[in-house]
Amino acid sequence: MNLPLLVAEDVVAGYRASLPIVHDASLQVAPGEILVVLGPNGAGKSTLVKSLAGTCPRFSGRVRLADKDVSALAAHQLAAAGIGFVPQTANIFTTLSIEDNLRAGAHLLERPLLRRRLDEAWARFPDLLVKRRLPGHALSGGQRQMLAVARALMMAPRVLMLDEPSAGLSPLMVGQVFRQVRAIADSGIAVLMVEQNVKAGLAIADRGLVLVGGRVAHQGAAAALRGDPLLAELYLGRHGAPADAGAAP
Amino acid sequence: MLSYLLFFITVASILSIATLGLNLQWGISGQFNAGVVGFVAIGGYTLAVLSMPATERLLVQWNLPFAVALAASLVTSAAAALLVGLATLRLRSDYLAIATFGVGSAIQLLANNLEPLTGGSRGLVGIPRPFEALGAVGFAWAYAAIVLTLLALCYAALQALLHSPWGRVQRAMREDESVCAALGKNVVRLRLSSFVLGSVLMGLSGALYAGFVGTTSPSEFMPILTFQIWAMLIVGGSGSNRGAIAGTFVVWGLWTLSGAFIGLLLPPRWQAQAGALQSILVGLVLVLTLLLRPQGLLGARRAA
Amino acid sequence: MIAQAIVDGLLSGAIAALGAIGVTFSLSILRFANFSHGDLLGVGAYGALGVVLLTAVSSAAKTLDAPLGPFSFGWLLLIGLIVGIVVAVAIALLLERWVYRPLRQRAADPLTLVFASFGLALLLRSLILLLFGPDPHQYSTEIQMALRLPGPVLVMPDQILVFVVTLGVLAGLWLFLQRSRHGIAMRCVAENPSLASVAGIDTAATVRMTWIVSAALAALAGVLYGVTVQVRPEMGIGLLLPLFTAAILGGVGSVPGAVLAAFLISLAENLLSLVMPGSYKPLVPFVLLLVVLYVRPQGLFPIAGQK
Repeated sequence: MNLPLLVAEDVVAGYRASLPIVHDASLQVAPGEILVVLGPNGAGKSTLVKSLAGTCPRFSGRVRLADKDVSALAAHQLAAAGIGFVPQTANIFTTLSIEDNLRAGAHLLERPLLRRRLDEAWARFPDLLVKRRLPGHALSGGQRQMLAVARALMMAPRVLMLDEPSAGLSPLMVGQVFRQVRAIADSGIAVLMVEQNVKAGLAIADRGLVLVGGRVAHQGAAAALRGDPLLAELYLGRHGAPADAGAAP
Repeated sequence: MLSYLLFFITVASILSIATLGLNLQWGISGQFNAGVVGFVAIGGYTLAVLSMPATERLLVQWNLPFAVALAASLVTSAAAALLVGLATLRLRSDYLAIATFGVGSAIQLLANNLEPLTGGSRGLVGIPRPFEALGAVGFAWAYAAIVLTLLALCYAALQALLHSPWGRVQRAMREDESVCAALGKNVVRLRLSSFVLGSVLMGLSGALYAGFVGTTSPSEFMPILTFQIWAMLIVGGSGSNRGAIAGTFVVWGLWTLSGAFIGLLLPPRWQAQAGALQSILVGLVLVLTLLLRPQGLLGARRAA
Repeated sequence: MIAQAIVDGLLSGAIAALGAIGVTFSLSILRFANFSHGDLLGVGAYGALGVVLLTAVSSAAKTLDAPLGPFSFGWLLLIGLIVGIVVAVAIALLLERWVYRPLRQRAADPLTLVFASFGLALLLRSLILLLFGPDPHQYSTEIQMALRLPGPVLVMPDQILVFVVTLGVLAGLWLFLQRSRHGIAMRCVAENPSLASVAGIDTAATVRMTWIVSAALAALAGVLYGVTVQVRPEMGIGLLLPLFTAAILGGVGSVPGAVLAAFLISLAENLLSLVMPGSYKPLVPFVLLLVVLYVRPQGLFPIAGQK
């Protein structure tokens, strides 16, 4: 059993301090494993992952990366520390070319290292190499998603977080993206993935966590969750949901 | 002494009307007018142009009565406000600032250049004034009475407006526009109406000023006026009509005092630069209030 | 006549282009209308003037002031240019640290920064007035021999140099934005500050870089304006509206757009003054601004991520 690499403890997050969306959420992800975060609409999944990436305010709670407390770091410092994030929307720079998008992702790197990472990106995503001079706004949904992931990988993060990577993609593309995510995890990176599509998410994940009304309602091994009737109930809000499951927006 | 005091009160009251207008635009509905002087000047020039007696070199020689010209100045300032208001209605908030700044510069240019209409850089002299027949003292008292009455009326009307449903929506909109829009309020039209009304007050102020001093020229309406009125608003505490009037008196008092000081102490050669000192003070008031006492700018409720 | 108007338009458009780039940066990266940008041009111009005025007290300065070749200025003005740029950049960074950053960190209202810049504009302008007085200045009283080009078009050597320098600077800026790490960071923050920080870009550092580039360009524009026209305290406020118009017409955030628009506005001003009295020239930017706002507010080359 791997030691967890990313640890979040009692995170309270939201956009206004008077109205937190995520309450006392705790989770852990180990290297090489995929933790999928599930939950009905409005449960706060996006808010949670954004607060871990630093793009949404976190009002209390701690975040650790291995043995280092990164709770006080700003978004760009988290990226430098090894936490990569792929947002759900607006996740590439549409006015930059594919190559410049990747360069932006490697902003902090020295030239030789940047060159190496760029070559690794082309190797992992040969489709992007072919189109490297195309501007972001000319890409299809699937290509954008690939570029977004490639950009996050430029820093060789130890933790990769993705917010609904399958959103708006065709089933074929979803399969491709998820295969990439699995391969990324298999290379030793800890992956945290928010996913709306329960079945597909659990299919590639090692563990799952269910967020309802901003609180962690349930978690466990993905295999166990796959057949768990409790999951359906939580989604439909019938039984076992936390007291103030004001989930529906 | 008394006549000077009367003069001061008259001018300060005239300026207060403009400050009330700015309060409506900024303090109540959160819109930034960077060209206040332009709207004031439009009012002043409208009154002047329409009431000037027939003179050879002038294009417009209608010699209209004071009250009619006054009413007309409200219309022209409203028109100018609509012109820029409609242009920037659905655009980012700083575009209105840029457009109003444009109005300020454009009016100054037009005033300087449209000689047959505005008298060019010399301006229009000898504007017929009401109650002139009463002699200098009589005129001073009568005009002060008119101005104070109008100020009181404007104040009362604005207070009533603020406590009306319209006023409540305006303030709610300033707090959180998206909520108001969600409630079905026509945010765009509300903002525009507030902006136009505020500009009308500024035009009224300009017209009253022209009628008081009897002349208009580009040097009566210099860019510094915009900053002066802003300072008057935030010294008094924006959002409050009473504060707007109080702030006007305070700032105008300080301005004229410092101006008198400079005139007495310094030789003429240095006076332009000493005027720069006054401007620096105004600039400091604006910036320091923003940094140190934001409630002066944002209103007590919303101190950041 | 038309040829002369076109050439004049190109020459003054070049200066406006340098100033408009700073405005488009502040609207897109800093995300507010910076009313003190015009006065940064003034600061640059007056910084250089301060150096040039040293000829009154220093004979070394006098020697350095001897005109170079066909131009009206000497090495002294080049030193003055550097001083002007340094002063403008320093002021911009100081204001960012002491005024804009604190306000950005606590203000809910984006207009707060606009208001601050408005007050700062008055302060900068008044300080210049206090230090240098209200009268216009020239960097040099040298009489230049005009060049006669086909047209017939009369052009001063200074003006040609200004145009060439501007083209060079624009080319350098283009390379900077396209190739360098900081340039790419600026473009990222212009489009999407949140994504930029997730990618590891320190937006505060990018903001500082933006101020440096904008202030340097503004100071250069101010000095070039001083060389070809004159230096006076209200030069900043007089240039502000055309600069805003150019940035908006070009499409906020687009450097090529701002440059093209600056040239278009300048050409329009000069061509229109062939058919209307020259004193109406300054009205052209305002009319164009209204037209753009009514007809195509996103400008010629809209950039994603801008409203």
